[in-house]
Amino acid sequence: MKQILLVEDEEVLRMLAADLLADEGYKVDEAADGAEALKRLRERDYDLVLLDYMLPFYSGVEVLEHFRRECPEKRPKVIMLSAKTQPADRERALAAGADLFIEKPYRPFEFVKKVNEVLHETDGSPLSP
Amino acid sequence: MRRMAVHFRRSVASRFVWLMAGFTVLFFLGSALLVMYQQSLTRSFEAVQQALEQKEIRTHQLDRAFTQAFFDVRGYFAFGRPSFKESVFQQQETAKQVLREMEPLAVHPEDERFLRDAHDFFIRYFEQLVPKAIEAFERGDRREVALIAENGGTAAVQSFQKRLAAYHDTLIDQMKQEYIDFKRKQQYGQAAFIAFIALMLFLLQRLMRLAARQIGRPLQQFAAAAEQFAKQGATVEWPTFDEQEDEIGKLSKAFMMMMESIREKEEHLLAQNEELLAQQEELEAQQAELEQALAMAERREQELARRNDLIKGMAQSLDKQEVLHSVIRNLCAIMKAERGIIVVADEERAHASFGLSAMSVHRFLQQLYNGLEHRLLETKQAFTIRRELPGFERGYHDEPLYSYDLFVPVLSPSDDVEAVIVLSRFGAAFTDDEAVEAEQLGKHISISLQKLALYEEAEKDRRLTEDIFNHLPEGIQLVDLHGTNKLMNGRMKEWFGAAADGWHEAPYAEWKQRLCALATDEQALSVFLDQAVFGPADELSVMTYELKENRIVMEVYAAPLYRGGAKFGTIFVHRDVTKQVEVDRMKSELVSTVSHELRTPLAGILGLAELLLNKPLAPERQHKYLTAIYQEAERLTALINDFLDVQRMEAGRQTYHWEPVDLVPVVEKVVETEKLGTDIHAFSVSIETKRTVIRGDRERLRQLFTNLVHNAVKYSPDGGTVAIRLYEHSGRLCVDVRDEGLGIPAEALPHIFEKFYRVDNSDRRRIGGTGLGLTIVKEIVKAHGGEVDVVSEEKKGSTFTVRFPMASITQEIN
Ligand SMILES: [Mg+2]
Repeated sequence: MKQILLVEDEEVLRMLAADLLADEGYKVDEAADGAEALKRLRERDYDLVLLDYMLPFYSGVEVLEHFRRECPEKRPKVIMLSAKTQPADRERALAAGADLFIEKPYRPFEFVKKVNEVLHETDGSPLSP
Repeated sequence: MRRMAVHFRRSVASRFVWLMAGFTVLFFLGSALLVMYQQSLTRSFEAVQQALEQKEIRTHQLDRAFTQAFFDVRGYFAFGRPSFKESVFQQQETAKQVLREMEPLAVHPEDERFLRDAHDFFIRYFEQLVPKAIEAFERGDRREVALIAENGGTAAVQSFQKRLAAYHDTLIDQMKQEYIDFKRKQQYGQAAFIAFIALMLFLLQRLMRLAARQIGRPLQQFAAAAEQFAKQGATVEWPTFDEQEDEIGKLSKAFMMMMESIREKEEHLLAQNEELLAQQEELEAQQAELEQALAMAERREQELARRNDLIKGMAQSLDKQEVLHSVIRNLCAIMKAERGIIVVADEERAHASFGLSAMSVHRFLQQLYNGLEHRLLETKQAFTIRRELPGFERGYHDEPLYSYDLFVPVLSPSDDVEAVIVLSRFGAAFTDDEAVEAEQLGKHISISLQKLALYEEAEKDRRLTEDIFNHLPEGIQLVDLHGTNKLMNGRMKEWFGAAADGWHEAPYAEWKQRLCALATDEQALSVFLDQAVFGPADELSVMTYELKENRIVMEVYAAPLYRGGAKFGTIFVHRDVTKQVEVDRMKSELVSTVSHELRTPLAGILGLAELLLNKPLAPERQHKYLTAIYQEAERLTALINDFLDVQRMEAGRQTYHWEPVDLVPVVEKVVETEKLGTDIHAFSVSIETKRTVIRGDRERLRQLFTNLVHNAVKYSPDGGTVAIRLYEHSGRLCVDVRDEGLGIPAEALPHIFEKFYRVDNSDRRRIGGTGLGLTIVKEIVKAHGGEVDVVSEEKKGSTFTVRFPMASITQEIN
C-alpha cells in the first residue's frame, strides 16, 4: 500500500484531498505546516508527498529544499499544489525537485488521476495510457 | 763776441745763466785770494817766528857754552884737573860753532852788532885771557892768574853776560812784536773777507732785481693784460715787448698772435652765433607749433584713454551693477564731475553713483520721476541746470556755492531713453561741447546696456534650461561617437556621487568602468553600454540595473542622436524606478495574494461539489461536505465583502453618513453580538468619560469595533477577558480593546494593518480570517480623523487603541 504525506494548511482542502486519496486506497498522513511535514518525512518513507505551496512559516518550496538537503537518500515523488499560478513559482517548485505542479482549484478526479500516474511511474507500469 | 752778444739779447735764460756763472766765478776767485793771503800771512809769521826761535836757541847755546867755559876754567884752576881744561877747549869749539851758525841769522843791525860783540868777546876770552891764564896757571903763577882776572877778565865776562841777556830779551820782545803784528794782519784779513761777502750779497741782490725787472715785470703785465683780455675781450692794451728778441718778446708776440687769432675766431663765432640764433628762432617757432599740436594730441589721447576706460569698464563685466559703477566712475573722470549717478529707466531702476551718500542717492531716486526727467524724455537732449548748494553740501564755505548739474539721456538706437545720467560739478559750468560729448558717450553706454540686457536675458534662459536640465527627475548623459562623456546633468551627479566626479570629457572606458562598478550586475550594464554606444544606431534600448550601495533600481535607456541624418552620439537617460518597481511588485503580489485567497475557498467548494455530484457518498459524508461548502462560500463572501470595502475605502469611494454617534451603545451592541459566539470569554466594558459622542458613521463604527472585538476573541483561543475601555486623553476620545490572547510578535507589529498580512504562526493559522480586518479598521479610523495603534506582548495579549477627535460640546449627552 502506497504511503502518501499530504501537507496542506487549508482544512477543507486537506479533508477533500485526504478523502479522495483514501478512496483510491492510499494510506494518507496529514500535516498542516512545514514543521509538521518535515517531522513526518523524517519518521517514515513516503511514496508521494503532496505539498501545498502556501504554508505558514515556510513555503512548500522551502520545506522541499530543506528535506532534499536533510534526507538526500529518501526519494519520494513530490507533487506541488498551489493556488499561486505565477510561472516563477512553478519553475521554482520544479527546480527544487517537484515531479509535478498542480494548480488549485483542481478537479478531484483529474487530481486522483495525476496522483496515480505519478505513483505508478515509479513501478514503470503506468495505470493507464 | 758778437755772437755772444746776439745770444744774450735773444735769451733771458742764457743771460741769467751767464750772469750767475760770472757771479759764481767772482765769488770763488775772491774767496781764494783771501784764503791765500791768510795762508801767506801765516807762513811768513811762522818763518819769522822760527828765525827768532833759532836765534834765541843759539843765544842760549852760546850763553851755556860761555858759562860752562867759565866754570870749567875756574874748575881747572881750582882742581887742576886736565879734563876741565879739555872741556874749556870743547866749549870754545861749541861757541865757535854757534857763532858761525848765527852769522846767517843776523838780519838786523842789532843782530850784527851782537854778533860782533860776541865774536870780539870770543876772541878776547878764548884767545887772549884763557890761554894767558892757563899758561900762568901752569907756570904756577897764581898771582898772575888772579891779576888777569882782576884786570878785566872777570869784568869782561860779566859784561858779556849782560850783553847776552840783553840780546836775549831783545829777541823775546821781537817775538812778541811779531805775534802782535800777525794777529793784527789776520784780523784785517777777516774783515776783508766779511767785506767781500757783503759785496757779493749786494751783487746778488742787484742780479735778482735785474731778473725781477727783466722777467717778473713783463710777466706781471702779461698776466694783467691776459686777465683783462679774458674779462674784456679784444679791446685790451697789450704791453709792448715785441721789440725784444728774447723769450719775453717771443711770448709777447705769441700772445699777440693768440689774441689776434682769438679775436678772429670770436668774430667768426659771433657770426656763426648770429646765424644760429636766427635758426633757433625759426626752430622755436616750429617747436611752438609742434607743442600746440602735441598738446592737442595729448588732450585727444587722454580723452580717448578715458573713453577707452569707459568702454573697457563696460566690456569687462557682465554684471549690471559692476558695469553701472564703472560707467559712472569713468564718466565722472571724463567729464571732470565731482558727483554722478546713472539710473536705468526700467522697472528695477538699477543705479550706481559716484561721490554720493546713500541718502543722497535715495533722495535723488525719489525725486527723479517728479520733474526734470520729463524734459529729458521729451527733448532727448542733454541740458544743464545751475543750482545753489544747500548748507550741508557747502561744507565750511559761507558764501553761496553753485553746482552745475548735467542731465544726459542714454538713448537707444531707436531713440528711447534707456537710462538717465546726472553729473554734478561745483564752480564751473558744463560747456556745450561737453554736453555733446556726454551725449555721444551716452550712445556707447546705451550699446553696453543693451548688451547687458541681452546677456541677462540669455543668461536667464540659460539658467532656466540648466535648472530644468539639472533638476529633471532623470539623469541625462550625452556621449559622442567614441563614448567620450560630453554632458551630464546634476541629477546624475546626485545619484552617482563621487563616482561621477570628473566625468567631463572622460573617455568611455573610464566612466563606464566607474559606472558599472556601482551596479550589482556590472557585466550586464557594461554590455548594454557597449551596445548603445557602438552598436547599430537605429533602436532605443532599455535596461534596468540596481545600485549596490542603496539597492536603488535604475532604468537606463539609450537613444542615438542624429544630426543631418548621421549619428553623432548617444544619449543615456537614467531613471530611478525603485518606487515603480516596488509598486509593480506590490501590485503583482496583491493580485497573486487575492487570487490565492479567492481560489483557496473556491477550490474547496468546487472539489467538494464535484465529488458530491459524481460520487455516491454516505449521507454523513454528504452532510460533512455540504457544511464545508457552506462555510467556504461564507468565507468567500466575507472575503469579497472585506476586499471590496478595502478597495472602496482606499480609493476614497466609501460614502459615510456623518452624524453624532455615541460610542457607548455601539460598543455595547458589538459586545452583545460577540458574546453569542463564545462561551470561554468574559467581556467588560468600562466607560470612564461622559463625553462619548463623536461625529461618525454609525454603521462603519460598528464594523470597526466588530473587527477589533472579533479579533480579540479569535486570537485568544484559550479564552480570557476581552476588556473595552472608553476614556478621554489629550482632548481625544479613546477606546481600548484588550485581550489576553496570543499576542503579536514584535517583528509583525509594523505590518499588521497591511492588506492580507497574517502573522505566520501555526496557532493563528488555524484561525480563519481574510487578512483584511485590521486594514478596514485603519481605513475607517482614518476617515473619522482618528488613529489606531497596538501594544502587544506574545502569549500575553494585545491592546488596540482607537482615538477619535471629540465632537463639539453641544453633542455631549448626559
Ligand atoms: Mg495553503
